[in-house]
This record gives sequence, C-alpha cells and structure tokens, in this order.
Amino acid sequence: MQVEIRQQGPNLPFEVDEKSAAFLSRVVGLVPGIIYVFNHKTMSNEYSNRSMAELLGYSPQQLVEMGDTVIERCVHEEDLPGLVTYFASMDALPDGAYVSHEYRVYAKDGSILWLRSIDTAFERAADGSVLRHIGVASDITAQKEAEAELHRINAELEQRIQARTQELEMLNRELASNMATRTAELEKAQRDLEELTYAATHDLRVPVNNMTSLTHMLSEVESLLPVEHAETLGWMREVSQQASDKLDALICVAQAGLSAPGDFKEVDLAEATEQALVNLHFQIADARAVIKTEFMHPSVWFMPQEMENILQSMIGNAIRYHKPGRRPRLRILSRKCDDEVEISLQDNGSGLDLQRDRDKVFGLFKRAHTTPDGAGVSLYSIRRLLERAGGSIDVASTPGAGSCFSIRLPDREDVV
Amino acid sequence: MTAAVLDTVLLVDDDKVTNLMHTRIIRRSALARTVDVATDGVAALDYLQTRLAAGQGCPDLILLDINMPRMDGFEFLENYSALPEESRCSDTLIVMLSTSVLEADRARAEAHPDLHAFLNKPLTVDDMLRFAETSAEVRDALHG
Repeated sequence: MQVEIRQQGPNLPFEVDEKSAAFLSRVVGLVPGIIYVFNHKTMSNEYSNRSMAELLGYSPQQLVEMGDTVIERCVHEEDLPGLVTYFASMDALPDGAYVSHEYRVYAKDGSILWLRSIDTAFERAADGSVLRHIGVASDITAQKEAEAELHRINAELEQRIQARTQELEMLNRELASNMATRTAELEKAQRDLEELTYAATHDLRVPVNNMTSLTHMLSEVESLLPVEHAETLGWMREVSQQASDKLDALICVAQAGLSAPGDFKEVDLAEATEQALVNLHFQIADARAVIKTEFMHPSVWFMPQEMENILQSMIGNAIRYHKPGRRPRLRILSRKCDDEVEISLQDNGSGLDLQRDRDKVFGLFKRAHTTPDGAGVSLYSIRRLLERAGGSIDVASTPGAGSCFSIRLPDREDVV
Repeated sequence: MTAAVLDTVLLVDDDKVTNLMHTRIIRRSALARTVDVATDGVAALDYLQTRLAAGQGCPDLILLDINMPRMDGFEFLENYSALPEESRCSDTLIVMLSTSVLEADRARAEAHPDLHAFLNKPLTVDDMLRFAETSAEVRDALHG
C-alpha cells in the first residue's frame, strides 16, 4: 500500500505516521476528482491525490516542466482573473468555512473542461493571509454541457412557442376579419331578403285585391253569361280567394321570420289557452271537441299575443285533423323540464306518418294532410317564431291514433 | 294529318281549379277519351295499381304537378321508378307540369329517366297535340 501511495502523488505536506498515511491514502484514492493542497506563494499545487496531468492529458514530466506557469497556461483566460480573486477571497474566510468556484481549463488537446473547486484555508500566515489552501476539484464538464444543452433546448422551445403564438395571433386576426366580413355579408343578404319579401308581398297585395274586386264586379252579370263562362267565373272567384289567402299566409310568415321579436312578458298559460278557446268556439262546438288542460307550470316567458296565436293555431289543427267519426279529445299540459318549460298538446286525431312526412309537418307550404285544406304555413311560422325565442317544437305521432306536439321554451330565469 | 287520340290522361295535382282548367283544355283538344284526377303522388300510385289490378292498362299520359301534400311530384317519380317492371307503364308518357320558376327543379326533372318532358303551366292544346303524336309513336314502336 505504501508503495502505491508514493507512486500516486507527492508526499503529504505534513508529517503523518505510516498507519495514518495509509488510511488517508485510501480515502483520497476513493474520492472522485482531485484533492490538492495549493501554495499561494508559488501559485501551484504542492500535493494532489492524483495527477492533474491525467485529467488534462499532459505527462507528469510536462506538468513539472510547466512549473508555476500551470495556472496561467491551463486556466481559461476569461476565468483567470476570477480565479485569482477567488484565491484572494480566502484570506477573509473564517477557519473551517468552505468556498466554491467554477472555472474552465484547457486540456492538452485544446478541449475545454469545466472544473468545480471546493476549497478551505489550510495554513495561514501571521497576518491571517492564506499560505496554502486545500480543495477538491471535480470535472463538471458533462454537467455543464448538459446545462448548456438544456438552455439551448429551452431557448429553442421558447422561440418556437413565440413563433407559434405569433402564427396563431395572425390566424385569429384573419379569422376575426373573415368573420366580420361574412357577418356583414349575411346582414346585407338578410336586409335584402327582408326588403324583397316586403316588396313581393305588398306589391302583390294590390293586383290580387283588384283581381278579387274585378271578379266580384263580373259576378254581378253572371246570369247573363253562357254556362261555360259562368263556370269559369266561379273558378276565378275561387282562385282569387286562394291567392288572397296564400298572400296573407306569406305576409304572416314574413312577419314571423323578419320582424323584431316583440315584448316578452310572463304569459299565463291558462289565460292564453282560454282566449284561444274562445276564438275557436264555433269549431269546438261544431266538432264537439273535449279539451282538458293541466298547467303544472303556470306560465312561460314569451310574447302574450303570439303565445295565444300559437295555441289557437295548434288547437285549431287538432280539431281540424281529427279522425273522422271520432270525437276529438285534446289534452294540453305544461311542465318544467330541465331548464325549459314544455307545453304539450296530445290529440286523438288522424295522426301523422312521421317517417315519411316529418319534413312536411314543419316545412313552408308543405302539408302532410290531403284534406282538409291548409296553407302549409302555420306550423312553419310557429317553429320559426319559437326558434327565434330560443325554443323549439317537435312532434310524436302514431298514424290513426293521434299526435303529440310539444313546445319547449327557455324558462324565465334562463332568459337574460 | 289527324293526330292519334289518347285513351286516358291522368292529372296529378292537388289544385282543384288547375284540374278543372286542364280537364277543359283536354276536352276542347278532343285528343283524349277520358281524363282522370289524382290529388297527390300517393293517390296517383293507388290509381295506377288499381287500374293494373283491374286489367285496365295504363293511362297514355300522366301530367304531374310538383308541389303536392303527402307525396310531391318528385317523390312520386322516385316511388314509381322503384316499382317492379310489371307494375310500371312502359308506354305511358309522364310529363311534369309546373309553375316552378326554379332552374334546379327543371334540371332535376329533366335528369329523370322516366320523365318525358318538363312544362310550365298552363297546359295548351298545342302541348296536347305533341303529346298525342309522341304517344302514338311510342305505342307503335313498342307494339308494332
């Protein structure tokens, strides 16, 4: 063992007995890095557990030849002043305290290694200045390189995030501008459509009214006409009436779709239904219809007149499309359903084949029934009106057994 | 030249006055012996089925409206084309008669293989003359 110690490094800078020397030698042999004693006068190592030469790639002979120029030749020139200051700072270091410093050194092949030294004063002069310090230097090149790599990756990542953020901001701006353009286009199309609908319906009103008046004037001399012409006149009366009815329906649809929604109020369903039933008095009496109501939720947040019209129209439909030979029975229910109010009208009428006719039930000028006549407008208008108010209408039906129409409207608390 | 006379014309339209007017025009043209009316696609399919079941044969001409309740003109064409060969009328001319101003309707109609022509209402005596001639040609071609 002793032989080995002598081979590994110069003698310890102080006297120890053989057993201690052996012990110390083993300990310093196990420590990674270089343990050294540095002389501040000569600015060179007096002792090290293993050769600096090994780390830097110089032969021991070359290091000896370098003598006290080792520091200035091996330490990176940028780190040299720092290292000198670091040595000087040890003068003020209390005994037993440690300082640490990181710096770069040149290996023989010119590559740069990073070292970290942990040092403490070992011997002081009478004025307290350090004569020798003892320290451990470790090669932290791999760690430094990893740190640098991490920094590089972080910086790159940061840059990529910035680039992506900028890209997204640009896309967002583009999207916002596209949307604004599209919205403007749609608003213009909507205005054009409103104007067109207004012009079409109102400009048609005059000639249709005139046609009706002229037909009535001609009817005054009906008895003087040949049979076939009298028949034609009858058809003309019928057609005038049809045109007038269709036009009324169109105007009604245009208003449901285009006019601004009116004032929303708390609408009492019992009152609205009562009024609708009064308006339908003759139809109900005629059909001997039985109508039951159960308003578990008493009111909806809607336009009062519109709600009355909707109920009247739907009750009217139920009576109109009753199954021939069966007394019409209608149950009108209201209840709270999640955050909506549902009004349902269950009839025992002729029913609908929804698999075939679902699109026709709520379609404009579409009719699912052949008889009796209808304009194919009321359910379309009702659906549009409800949808504009955030509501909906749906139907379930069994042909021959009856239909159940259900209206859903947002409950008042949910209406902002 | 005297045009061949059609045996039966079927009007498929839900509008009463249109049917009355067309019936009168056909009567005046003296080009058809019988005019029948079905008020929508379903009624028209029923009519054809009933005739075939009774061994009365097909009408020579079907004038088909587009917009009708229950089953419109296009739906009638789909349903008719889906029928088995023996339930269809190979020598019947089907003409779509419409007030539709939509080009899409015309294009859709003209693309249909079972449709002979697409016409705007009202029907005229000249139209009837052309149909009667074409119908005679079709029947000659099929039956010699």
